[in-house]
Amino acid sequence: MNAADTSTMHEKWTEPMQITVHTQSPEIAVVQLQGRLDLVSAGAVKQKFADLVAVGQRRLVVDLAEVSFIDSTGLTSLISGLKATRQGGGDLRIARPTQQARTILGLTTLDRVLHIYQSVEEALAGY
Amino acid sequence: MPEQLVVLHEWLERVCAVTGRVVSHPPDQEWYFQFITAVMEIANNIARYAYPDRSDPNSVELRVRAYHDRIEAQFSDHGITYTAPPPAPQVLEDDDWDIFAIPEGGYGLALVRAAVDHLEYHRTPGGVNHWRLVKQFIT
Repeated sequence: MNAADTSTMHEKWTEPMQITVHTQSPEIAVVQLQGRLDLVSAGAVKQKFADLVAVGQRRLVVDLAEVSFIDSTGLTSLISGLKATRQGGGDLRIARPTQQARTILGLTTLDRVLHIYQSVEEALAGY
Repeated sequence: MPEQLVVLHEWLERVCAVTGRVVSHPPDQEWYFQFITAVMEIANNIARYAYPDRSDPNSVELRVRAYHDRIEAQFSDHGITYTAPPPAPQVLEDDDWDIFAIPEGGYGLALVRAAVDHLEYHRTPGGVNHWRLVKQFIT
């Protein structure tokens, strides 16, 4: 990975959601999320996706391996990111979801919309 | 409230761990993920809609009871009346979908309904909201 930019949303009352962006090329980035993707953090994650697309990084891989919990608002941020990237002619791919993430994606059938990959490398392939 | 949601999540995991040790057919991990996710979604709903001004909802109560065939979670709160949002997003039946037509919100209750066997809500004349979730054990 070529470069990394880390921003952390600290809140005094919960574990922080850490967002790390690993730039692969001017158009491609891996967004590594760590913590809870929920009511508290979803807005910041959604904004990060929008910011990346705005600077031309329209092909994103979102690494969920370190996300301990996702709720419906967290899903909303992923859908928003998918729309933003597609609007820009790119895509958003999910890599390494935990079992809880797979459960919530399956229950909402959004696993038919968000393409899921077993590894970051697999998700990056073909970009 | 967000801090309380994290505490609630940790408490639910402990409850499920105990439940798994005392029931005759312990559910699998997937079952627990579904139950915990459903309860957390209702807690989110209460935080967002029953107390939209982020007032401290000290009066929210949650009871979880395990029976031989099911587990039940019952919330009571003194917030404002829950008003149903627009219809939940439709389940995607095939691959013929338009990404830009897919809503970005409204998945909460749809998710709960998919995760548990029964969900009900009512408000008492005294102004208390009650949510009840039931999930059957797999035998």
